[in-house]
Amino acid sequence: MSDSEDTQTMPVIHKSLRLSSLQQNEGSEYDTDEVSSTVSTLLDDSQSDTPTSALRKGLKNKRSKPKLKFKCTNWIKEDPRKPIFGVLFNTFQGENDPLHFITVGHNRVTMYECLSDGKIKLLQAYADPSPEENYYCGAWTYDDNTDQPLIAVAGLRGVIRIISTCTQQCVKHFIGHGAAVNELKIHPNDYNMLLSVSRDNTMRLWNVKMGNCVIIFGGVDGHRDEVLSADYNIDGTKLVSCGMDHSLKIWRTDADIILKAMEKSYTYNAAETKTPFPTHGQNFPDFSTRDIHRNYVDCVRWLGNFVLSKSCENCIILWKAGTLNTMDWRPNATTVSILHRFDYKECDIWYMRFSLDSQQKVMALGNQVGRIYVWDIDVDDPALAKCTVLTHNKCYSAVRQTCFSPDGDTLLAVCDDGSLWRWDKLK
Amino acid sequence: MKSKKKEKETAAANVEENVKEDLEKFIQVFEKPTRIYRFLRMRHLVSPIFLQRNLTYMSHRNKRSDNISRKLFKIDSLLVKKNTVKEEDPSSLKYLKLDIQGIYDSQLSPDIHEANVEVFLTKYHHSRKGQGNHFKYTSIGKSKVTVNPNWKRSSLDGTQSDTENYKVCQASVISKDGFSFKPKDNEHCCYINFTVTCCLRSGYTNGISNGTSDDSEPPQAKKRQGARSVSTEEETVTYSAEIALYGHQYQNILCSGTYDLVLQDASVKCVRNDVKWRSAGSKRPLDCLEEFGTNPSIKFNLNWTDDSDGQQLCSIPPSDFVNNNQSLRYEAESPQKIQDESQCTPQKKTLVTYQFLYNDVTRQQTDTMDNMTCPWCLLNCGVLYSLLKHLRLCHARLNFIYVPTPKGAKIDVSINDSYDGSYAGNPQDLNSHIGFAFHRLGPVRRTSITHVIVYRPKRPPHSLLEFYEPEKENQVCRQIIQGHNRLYYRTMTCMPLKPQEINQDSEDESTPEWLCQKSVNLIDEFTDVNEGEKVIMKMWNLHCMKYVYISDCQLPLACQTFVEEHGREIISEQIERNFLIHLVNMFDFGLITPDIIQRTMWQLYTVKDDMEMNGQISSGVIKQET
Repeated sequence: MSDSEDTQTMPVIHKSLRLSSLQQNEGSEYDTDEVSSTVSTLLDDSQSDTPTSALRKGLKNKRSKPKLKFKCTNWIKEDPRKPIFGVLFNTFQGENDPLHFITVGHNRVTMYECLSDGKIKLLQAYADPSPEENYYCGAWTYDDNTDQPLIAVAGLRGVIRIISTCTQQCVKHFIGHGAAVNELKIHPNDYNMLLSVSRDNTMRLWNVKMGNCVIIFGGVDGHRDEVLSADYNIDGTKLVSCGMDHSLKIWRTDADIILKAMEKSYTYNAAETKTPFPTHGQNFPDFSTRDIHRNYVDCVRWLGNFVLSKSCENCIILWKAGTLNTMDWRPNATTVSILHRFDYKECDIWYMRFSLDSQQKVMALGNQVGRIYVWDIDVDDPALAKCTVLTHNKCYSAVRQTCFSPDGDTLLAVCDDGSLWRWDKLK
Repeated sequence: MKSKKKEKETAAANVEENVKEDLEKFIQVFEKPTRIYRFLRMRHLVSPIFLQRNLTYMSHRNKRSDNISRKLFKIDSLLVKKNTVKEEDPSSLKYLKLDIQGIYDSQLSPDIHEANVEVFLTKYHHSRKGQGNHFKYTSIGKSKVTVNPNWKRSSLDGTQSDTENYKVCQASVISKDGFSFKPKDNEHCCYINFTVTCCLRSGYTNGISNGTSDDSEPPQAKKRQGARSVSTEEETVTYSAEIALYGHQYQNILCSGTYDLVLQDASVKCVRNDVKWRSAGSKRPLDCLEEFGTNPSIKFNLNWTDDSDGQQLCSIPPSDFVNNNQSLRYEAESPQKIQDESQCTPQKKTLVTYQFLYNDVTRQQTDTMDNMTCPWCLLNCGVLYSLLKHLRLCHARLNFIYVPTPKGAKIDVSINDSYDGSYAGNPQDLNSHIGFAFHRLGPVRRTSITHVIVYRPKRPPHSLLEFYEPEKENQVCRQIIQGHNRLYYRTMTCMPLKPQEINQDSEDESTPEWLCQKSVNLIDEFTDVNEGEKVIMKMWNLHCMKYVYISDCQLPLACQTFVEEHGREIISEQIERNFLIHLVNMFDFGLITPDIIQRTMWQLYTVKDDMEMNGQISSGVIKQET
């Protein structure tokens, strides 16, 4: 009851109000004086622990690619210096449209525009009416009738809110999760399908347009603890999830029953039938493993048919289900093969997210002392991936999430002290 | 001295402070309900939920007077009525006939007996293309009319007047161009303009008028001369008056009847050129009538005729004609009726005083008001009973107690502490998660749900006695729809339950699909059981789950239904022996008796025989197996 009362009321904090509270640093000082500190250093050591050492030997002579270089062009601090947990670019905009991104954290959702010369322009800010709310994640989608962008955000209270940036209102909200929502993902083929990953050990797939809960992933063979992260593969046929139970689970989403449920969610009319939407419960993942990590698995991403996942053990592991030689994994198989470990330092707290750019050629992860590790994974052998470390002397708190712009030229990072960092690629 | 002065000053300051504090307290107490009711009033104006006039205690606001015709009304008569009108040739013209009875002006000297009246018809055309309004001005006639006919001079100057010597001259004017009232050319409105020219020099005109009025021939021709002669002289008074004959799309066509029009001095450039009937209810009713007494007026009979001679009166008044022939109907309130209202004497005024009680004992009185208007929603309740009833029912956040005073009424207003603002309706109507209540733009109406509730309580006769005491508890808390306002959630999905789904049980006891799947998966994981045993185990477990066999005594039945459903499968999978072992196993555990084993196996072999007969399986294979 209390939830439903609040949900419609989401005041917009106006631009002028928020601008004053932002500490804006118009780059120039840092551009000239601190170039030395912003320019990254190559990390030569510790490209180790690769089981495919034979592969590396054959490819070693191809190391001619220049390393990636980034420059810190701007950084700002949001006023309530609460941790920002998420930063997300709008990937649905055209090439000539302005680059928008949101940051989520505390009970705020802030929308910015990323301008060309390193500037960041504040556009909109939303605050949840509940002071207890703490947003952990967000996702961009759009209304397929009007093509207007929508933002989905969720967090501690487990209420998923859909905000329309055009009307500047919370247009919908979904109640159902029994606990906090840790991550939101949009289905890569159907932008009305929103996947939410929750502390209540389940994931739910929502139809944003129709307002139904379509599928619940979880149950008897699902996660046994908080689900922390999930990712659809590029064509939306597979879903990988990970959580506090140290396990990683792969769910097929191209099964008939799931496709049917998704289809049905569009045709279901609540006014006509007196029965609720028959939410499909998917209790059985098609693959499950606990062999990759020995701790909370807090971030997972597909890389083709491989999976990149990290725990708080100072490494990101590239692995695949099944043996190395099989092209496709057998359902209910338990074997995994680890391809590579990307090692880094000082990142052993949980809820730190790495990100890939849209081409899946660069990977970035921040650590708890404010350094950002960038790997150029556009190489034949993951062992050859070069690592660049981005440091700035004012960036010293934990970098929760990073995000590449759709063109891959800008990297954003958000920190626990409420600061937002913009790094632009040097060409 | 100084100290005393200071004391006085401080005392004055204290008083001022007290007043301020008092005012603040007053505002603090009454601000919230007043704001709420102001908002509700606006909303009620914009989109009313109900009409005040439909409430039983507001029956006097219901202006439908002809209840008899409503009662006698039969639906079948509607067609007959309509048909008679339709049969009339719609192209037939109507003619306007005006019988001007006289000019009334108390300020004119009694010697003046006649005045010239010219009647114009003005048609305003509303052009749509923004060219502005253009109007056609046609004179439909001039005539000479009597000034102050039948005026009892005796009462004015004490002498028997000679007005009786003059015959009342009724000048009639008929419009030559008929009115078609076709729905097509209704894009204009029409006004009747009267120009009255009155010669102040008596005597000369008297003679002429005498002569003409005696003549029975139509006055038109001669009048013109007279008018001209008068107009050359300076000492004339010109009055004018205007009345709308009909409005846009033939709205409010004047009905036949006698009209009094107030004349205005034309030399004074009149600002108000629209002479409109005002609703007497809105302002001071007496002023309207006073205008008739003090200002000059013209009195005329208006008739609609079917022929241009003015002999045959219309069988169907044009207002009805238009109403019947037009698709759009307008609520035409006849002007006479309005006049009727204005003429009715206002009731004896009851003075109403509101006394606000707050802060335990503090009271604050309003100015006395002489009307029955609700101060919160400015609704004119008309009668004291209605006012009190309205206050109690519509403004329940406040308590109202009626105290009669010699002058009128005093109403004590205090805050109703027991007011329950929460939603006290049926939970099925609670649409807070669907409707737009609690919107951020302010309070919004919930999704409306209509219930037809027939409730015929015994209504005591209206009496003010019920307002002497505060409302009784049982009256306040009476709820028509019983219920609560809890929101329920589904057990499986934790989704909020929508009102239309409330009768659907989400917790059905049947075995969930995942449990069957899980049991199959678990059986598959056994390593010390052969494949045939696994198949039987899965089949049996799913069967028991499906029919929820939970006790030992149900097992014979379970065996029977199992063979009925899965017998063919058992035979085609060639696992009859596994099934037999399973039955024997159950016997070993004392769950079934040997005769059940025998019966079940016999049943299974019957199925097998049937299948062999139909050729679904070859008996040879089976024999090899056995």
